[in-house]
Amino acid sequence: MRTRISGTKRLSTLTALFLISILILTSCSSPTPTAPPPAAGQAEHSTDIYEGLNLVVPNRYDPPIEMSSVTSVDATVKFLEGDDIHNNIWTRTYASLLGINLRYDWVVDASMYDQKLGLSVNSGDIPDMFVVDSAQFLTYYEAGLLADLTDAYEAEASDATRDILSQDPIAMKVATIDGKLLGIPLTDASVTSASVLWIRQDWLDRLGIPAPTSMADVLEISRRFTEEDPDGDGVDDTIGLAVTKDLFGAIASLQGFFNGYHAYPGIWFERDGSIVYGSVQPEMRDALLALQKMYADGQIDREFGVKDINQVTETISQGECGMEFGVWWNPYHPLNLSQANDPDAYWQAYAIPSIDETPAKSQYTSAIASFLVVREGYEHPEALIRMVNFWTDNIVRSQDDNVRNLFLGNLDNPDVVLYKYTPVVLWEPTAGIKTGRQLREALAKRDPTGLNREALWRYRIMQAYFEQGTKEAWVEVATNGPNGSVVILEDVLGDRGLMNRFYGMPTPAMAEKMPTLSTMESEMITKIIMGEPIDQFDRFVETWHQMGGAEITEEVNQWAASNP
Amino acid sequence: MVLSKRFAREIPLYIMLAPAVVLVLIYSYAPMVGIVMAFQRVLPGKGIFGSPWVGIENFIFVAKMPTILQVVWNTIRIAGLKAIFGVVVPVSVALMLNNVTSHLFKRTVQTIIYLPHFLSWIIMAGILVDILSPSEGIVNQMLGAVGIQPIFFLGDDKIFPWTMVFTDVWKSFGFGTIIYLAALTDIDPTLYEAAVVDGATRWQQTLHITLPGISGTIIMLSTLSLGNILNAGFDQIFNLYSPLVYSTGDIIDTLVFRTGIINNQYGIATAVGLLKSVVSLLLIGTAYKLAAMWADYRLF
Amino acid sequence: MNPKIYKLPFFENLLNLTVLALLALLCLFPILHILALSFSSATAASSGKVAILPVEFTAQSYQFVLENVAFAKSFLISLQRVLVGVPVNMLLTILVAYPLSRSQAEFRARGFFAWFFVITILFSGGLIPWYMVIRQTGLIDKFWALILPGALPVFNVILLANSFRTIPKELEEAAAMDGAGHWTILFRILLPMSLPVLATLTLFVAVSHWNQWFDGLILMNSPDKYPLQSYLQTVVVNPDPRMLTERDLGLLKVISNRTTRAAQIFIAMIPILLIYPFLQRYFTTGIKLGSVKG
Repeated sequence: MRTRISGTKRLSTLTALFLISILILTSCSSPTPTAPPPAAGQAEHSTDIYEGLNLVVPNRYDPPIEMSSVTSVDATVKFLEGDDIHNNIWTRTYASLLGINLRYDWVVDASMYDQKLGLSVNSGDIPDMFVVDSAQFLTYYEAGLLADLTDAYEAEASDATRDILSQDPIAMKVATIDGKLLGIPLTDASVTSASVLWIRQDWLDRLGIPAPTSMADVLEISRRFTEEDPDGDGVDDTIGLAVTKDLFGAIASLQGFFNGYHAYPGIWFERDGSIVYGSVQPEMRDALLALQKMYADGQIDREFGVKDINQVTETISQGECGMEFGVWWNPYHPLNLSQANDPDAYWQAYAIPSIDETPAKSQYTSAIASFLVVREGYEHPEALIRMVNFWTDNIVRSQDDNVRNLFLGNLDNPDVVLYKYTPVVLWEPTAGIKTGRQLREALAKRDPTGLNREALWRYRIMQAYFEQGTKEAWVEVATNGPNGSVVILEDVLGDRGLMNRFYGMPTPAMAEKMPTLSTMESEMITKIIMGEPIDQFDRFVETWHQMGGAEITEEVNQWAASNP
Repeated sequence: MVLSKRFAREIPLYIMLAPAVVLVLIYSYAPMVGIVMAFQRVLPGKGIFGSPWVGIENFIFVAKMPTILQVVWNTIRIAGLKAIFGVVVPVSVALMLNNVTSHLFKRTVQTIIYLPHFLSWIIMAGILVDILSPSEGIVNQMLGAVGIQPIFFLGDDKIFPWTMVFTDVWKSFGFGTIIYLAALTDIDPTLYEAAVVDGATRWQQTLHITLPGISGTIIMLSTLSLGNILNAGFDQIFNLYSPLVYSTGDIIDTLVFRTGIINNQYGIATAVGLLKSVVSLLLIGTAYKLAAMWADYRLF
Repeated sequence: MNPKIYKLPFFENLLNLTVLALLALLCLFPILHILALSFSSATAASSGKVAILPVEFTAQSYQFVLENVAFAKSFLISLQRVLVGVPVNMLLTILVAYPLSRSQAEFRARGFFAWFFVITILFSGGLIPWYMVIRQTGLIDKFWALILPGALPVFNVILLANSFRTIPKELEEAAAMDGAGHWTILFRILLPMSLPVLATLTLFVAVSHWNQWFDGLILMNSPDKYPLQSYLQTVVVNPDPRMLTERDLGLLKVISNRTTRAAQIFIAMIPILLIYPFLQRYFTTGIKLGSVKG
């Protein structure tokens, strides 16, 4: 009996405690405002800070207009004292110089942006201006949610804007559907997806191997890296080529390898007057056989089929492999990790060599992945154009460090990356290449005058490498240095590159059948490398055509006829 | 007179149910209206009431997806095995723990086996690829020590489903063990005392008292997991599978994810969800009837 | 449970203990590994050098996660969430489990309500309708959005209802004869005798509220309303090298996604490790008094 009562008592005491704590907590919680404070209501913003900056300012709205938007942040976004996402240099500038009161309906973590946007739009909460990815771009257009920007663009886009948007020849084409400009493409350099061959130069030096000039050389290097103990530790723990289970990507990809055999998996290109799909072309065969042999000889990790990027990164940093086909920025990550185990580690970039006399072409795909759009029905679509103009005229084109300090990021406060506060950010596609060229010239002359702040920072790093022997600085030299990967990209843009001929939205058959066909493709490639007979490839080609590939090719050719 | 008295007795029960019923109506039943999207071609911004009706077109699309039959079978097989071992293992461990006299040992073990539950599959994937590696992984090294050839746990399509089952059981058996241990305390100690007096061995006690004593819990948990049968574990499989094992490891959710349906074809995604729900309902309903008929056991 | 009955003969006891110890080790190893990862440097972690001891010891992953003001804010929000959510969930669970545990005779609509609740774990309209309802009820961006939509965990209800049913009917009947109504039976008889199950469910609910991250991320309109796990999901550095600042690059050398994720997991586990032993007491005491006549 006693236990029962005390049990109940215990329960009631606990319940009472809980209730009390609820009361305390809920009454203590400070009511947070549900609507963000309107930008217009902020304290008077002094325009003194713009003095002497020679800013190019578009026409100001008077009286000011309201514009709602949404944006994402990530953990690295920091603010200056007193600022937050709703109130910072960009919101204040838009308000005072452009007359646009920008207000964010919601702010989420970058990983959730797509989902939150989808939920918002489907619930009927559509912001005035926002960023969408390619899939949403098409679907929202079809649902009639996007405003036609053609007229506004024609009337108001500045020269700088037009120039930047035309540097990538297909940028504007992708953003135009049915003759209407429906969004501003957020540009980036497509060529950055081109494959570059990275080799452990220190291993080449130790074994006395000259730079490769052909794919045959590459195969030989792979063999010697595997068999001749290039890291000199006496243990048989090295392989030639790193590959991930995804087969393609930015690191340890097979794309470049195939390109060396004039095979172009995953993209569409012209052949004999029509457009064909790379993965089913005969050139794939030889490349697959070569890979098969490499795997059989232990030059490729036996377990590559289950290793993703993280695991392959481990092998790279442990100094277990000597070559990988990746992209131009690999030294920043993960190649830099090799130094952890071997301070002399140095990866050198090489253009894709060829299997025969014809120079190899590195394939790449359009990098237009997102668009700035305006809601259908918003009264001031040209406001977006003005915001874009402000960015291109002042930030992209300006070499004035004061301007960059104010809007991009202050050297005194490196944590605070100011351009992350606004969604209206366009990078000049050729900027990376231009900077690379500038840096190489400066290095040659040993004279950094004329370089802007970031370029100067990179210059100093490379200087440290050459003059002080700072080993870690190899990363910068390997990319922007005189023999760096950026140089290779210039050639790719020239005649050593092949761009994906198809850059539009997925065609009907493509949307329906491509995912399955891609799965089949990955399975086929993986299994053949691991030893299955090469006629699997021939069977794949047949099945691919039957199960929708032929239909898709038809559609792509039709599309190409009206999209030169 | 009799009726109203009975009803009066039941009133407190209705009052107790009221708040929960209201909440459930709002937050579970109202959203269920969205199931109609399975029959629509969902347009963003138009929502449920503005999107065009397409009848069973979405379902036909799903049925025509090339590997769908294989994928459904994979799903059922993996989920089914998980359900079985997801009962056998926790029950056994609970029984074993029950026999331990030291409170300290018991508490420590209980806490430790619950911990894997907190690990996400993203991080587990990294660990598993390492330890299951055929060349350097510790598991294969141990197998090698007793003369067994290396097994490619993650890359062999015959073994892969079993790897999924056992790693998942390993991660979640702590949870089930807790429940069974709690159920074990419900068993009347006098039953054991009587059995000991009658000279029953421990085995007999286990068979005739313990297991029947928690049979209710076992049936209940198994049935509830049946409701989950078509969710074979997206997070786990997504992080651990690869083209090598698509033939046995690809499940409904990973197929739907890879084909981009989730994000762009909401009607089809809802159709898949509806199919899964209907199957779960049939399974649970059948289990309910069977339990009622054979074990005279009302599941709920 | 009477220890006398359960004591195993020596050899079998040893076997039992060994197997359990091995199982515990099997579960412990990855935890230690993750703990070690969280205290190791990025390069060591990415090189696969870390086993169960930290390599190149550094507390920077934790620092990175903890020094953010957002951490303290989100921690408080999670604390609030647990302290409010657990009683709400438990109360509702108890109030629903009781009627469902009555016999068909005592409560004629029992079957109807049972299916009413079970259907909700089988059928769902998906993410969009769920979001829309929450929006219509004005909960978007509010604290209660973390509590109300999931306030009734049906699984727990079923567990508790079943547990209620195992309590000998005679106790209730005796009380009823003494004039006790449903409320009394529930609170004075059933609950005190169900402490192990209640403790179990409390633990589950607390763990669930503490670990939930998706609803915070999707239902809140700004990151300063995020509960802890939602916030922790966001602290991974994405190495897009074209946009890396000097600080990012420097940071990346020391921490990496792996180490911060490991630190995340640890921080998530701590409260549970603290509460669990406290609740364990209830798991092992059987508060069955035996017969009614006693």
